[in-house]
Amino acid sequence: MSTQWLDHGTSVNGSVRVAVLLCDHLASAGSQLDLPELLRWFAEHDPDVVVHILPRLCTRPQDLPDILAETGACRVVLGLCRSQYEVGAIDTQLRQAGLDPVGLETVDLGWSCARLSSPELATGKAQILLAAAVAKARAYFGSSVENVKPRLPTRFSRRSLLRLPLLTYEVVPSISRDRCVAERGCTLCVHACPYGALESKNGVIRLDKARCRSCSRCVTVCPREAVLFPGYTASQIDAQVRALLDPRIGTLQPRGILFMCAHMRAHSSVAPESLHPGWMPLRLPCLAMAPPTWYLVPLGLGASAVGVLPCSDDCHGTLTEVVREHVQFCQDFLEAIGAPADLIQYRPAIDRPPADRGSSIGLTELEDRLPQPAFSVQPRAVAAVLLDLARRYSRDEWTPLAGDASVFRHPAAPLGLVEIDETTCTVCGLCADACPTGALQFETTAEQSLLRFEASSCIACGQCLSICPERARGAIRVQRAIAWERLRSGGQVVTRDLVARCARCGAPIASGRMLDRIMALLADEPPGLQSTLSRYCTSCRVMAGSSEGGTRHATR
Amino acid sequence: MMATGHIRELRNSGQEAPAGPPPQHAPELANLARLRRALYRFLGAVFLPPQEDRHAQLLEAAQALRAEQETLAGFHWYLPWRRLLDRLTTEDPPSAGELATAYVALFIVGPSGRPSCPLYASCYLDPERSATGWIPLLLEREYRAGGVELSPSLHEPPDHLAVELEYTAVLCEREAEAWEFAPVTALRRVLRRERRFIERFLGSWLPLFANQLVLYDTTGVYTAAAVACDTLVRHDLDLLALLLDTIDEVHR
Repeated sequence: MSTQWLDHGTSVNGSVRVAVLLCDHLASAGSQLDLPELLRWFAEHDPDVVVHILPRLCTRPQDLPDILAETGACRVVLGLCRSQYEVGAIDTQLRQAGLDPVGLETVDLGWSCARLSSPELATGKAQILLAAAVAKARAYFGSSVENVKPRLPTRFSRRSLLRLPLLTYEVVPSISRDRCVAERGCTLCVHACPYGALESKNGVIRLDKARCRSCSRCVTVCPREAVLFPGYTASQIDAQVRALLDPRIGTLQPRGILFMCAHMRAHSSVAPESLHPGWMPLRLPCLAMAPPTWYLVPLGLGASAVGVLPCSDDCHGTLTEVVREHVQFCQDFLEAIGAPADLIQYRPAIDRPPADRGSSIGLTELEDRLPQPAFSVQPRAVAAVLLDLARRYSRDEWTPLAGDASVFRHPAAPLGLVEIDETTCTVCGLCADACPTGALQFETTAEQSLLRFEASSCIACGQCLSICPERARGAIRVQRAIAWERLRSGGQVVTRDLVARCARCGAPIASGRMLDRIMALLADEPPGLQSTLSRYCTSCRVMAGSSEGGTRHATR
Repeated sequence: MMATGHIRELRNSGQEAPAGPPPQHAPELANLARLRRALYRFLGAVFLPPQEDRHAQLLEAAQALRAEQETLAGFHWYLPWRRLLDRLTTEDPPSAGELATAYVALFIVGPSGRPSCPLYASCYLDPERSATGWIPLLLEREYRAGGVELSPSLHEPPDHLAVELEYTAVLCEREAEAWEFAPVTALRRVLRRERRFIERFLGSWLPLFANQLVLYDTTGVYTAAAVACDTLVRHDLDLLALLLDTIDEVHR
């Protein structure tokens, strides 16, 4: 069944036109924002952005369908004076204009910019945040009806149905059947969900929307990017972070990326005056969504530091733990490659500027080498990011990582290493069938069966281990580790064995080691049975039982 | 809103005396159920043969819905509906003749002699015809259990899309009445029946039908209608689950 997308991001002449709508309260007394300057800046720098200042946008939005029809915009960014706005009314008006409200981007300029110390600083930061929101909105690919769950408002209005949006909507993930490999037994998303909202049934992953809390943890644990969460895709985060750190936008330096939980209620724990302007807030549905590379990539794109500010109050316990583990991995990783570990900080001192380490890591050269999107969670992209960062810090490309450091083991490492014990592995290939990323591949030729392993595709999910019939004998070992040399060397044969062939028809029976294992298990059986099993293929066994010279069957 | 009138009530349901206060927000939710009923009836009419008088009524109904866009846009299913209504309310809407030609080619006799997008659930749920007649039988039983029967004037089997849509409209009306008058137990029963029917029948083959139409429909009207219908149905499944959960929570 294909998904019916509500919005394909239609663009004119290849460029997506974006409307930036600013609340006129942003120009009220006490605000340092220079709105005319913002209009002028966008007109000069991005002709496909139309900026309007609208009266009472946050409290009583009006006439949006007409304004949007006039601008011909496919995407909308709201610059708000406060964190709360009339979500239902704005969503309704966007739909009236033919736009998908899930693609709407909002920037709370009132909180992040308006109270900065000078108009230059406030307006400069607003430029950066709005330009990043525009970039993120442009990278939006659309949503389907599967991506929302309706909710009844906590308090109903006395007005009739015809006067109000009766339902509100929360974005939830959806599963792309084309990419999902649940039929191979993959249940990574199911196990990652802390709320038990996902289940695997008959090889199909189903989401119980009622249980889903939109933390999006499932989105980034899927190495095939089969779980879709519109509004926070790798491409969107990529576009947003690149714009936040683009030195051509605004003059503010140094800049740090501050990962924040979107559920942090009305910024309760962060007062606007306490946030140093150098920190660029980046909100995620839940910080547990961010894999470790999401914290590392900004360093390669020019960030002076990365801060991680999770919500502290009512967050699910395991999620907070996941965030801590990821930050710990990043810090240990930085240390291992010779970079300062405090480039990434858990709950940083946000009233102070992000550490200014000059060009220690933010290199244009590196930016060009990072995969596109750098925030992809596919293991090869993750491996490319880690390799590039390591390369940046090594005087001689691999010297600091040789010897004991050639394999960086860590319980939260996003990549893995599979080791096969050739004495016990029977080369049955079940592990390769179960591998969701194709890191293990089973190949058979006329002479031999072999198992190939590619470290840059392994996420240490352990699917191979759970299905291996010889796991009790230690045939396979999986560890969370980054093996530098193995990442560079591509797929390598980890075990191989000659194929035993049928004495009658020549068809392959099994690998030699598998036959040996079967013989060992059947040691107490009559020798005739062992001989038949080891000499003939399944088709010839029946005939072999009656006569050595029976008719031949069609061979494969 | 126009009625197709191909199923008729056998008995009145939801006539139990109300017990206790109505659930919170009942008037709004009754209105919502009536809105959904109107939409299902509209869709049912789209998938009936486009005779002149029915076609005129359909365009009129589309105009009426278009006029209510401010209300409809409050729901996430609105965007596909907007496309359908745009198509039917342009200055030059498709004529009855155009739609009739497409209707025959798509739903009655295709180029190969078979319709490319049959309007019957059995064709999608039992494509190999391994249990011929089983699905219509189940549906007929469902309709009877729901207190309705097929009108003798309709010469179509019970698994025709328009019939399923009209039955869903009937269930929505029952839901509206239940929100207003019925005790919670009856309301819960109505919502469960509605959800079960949509999940088991209408919602199980609509996506397949819509995908087929994307491939073959040249008018755009039927594709838009199928996509709008599929979106509404999937939204309704979520909505009914939400309402049942809410009722269970409130009356625990």
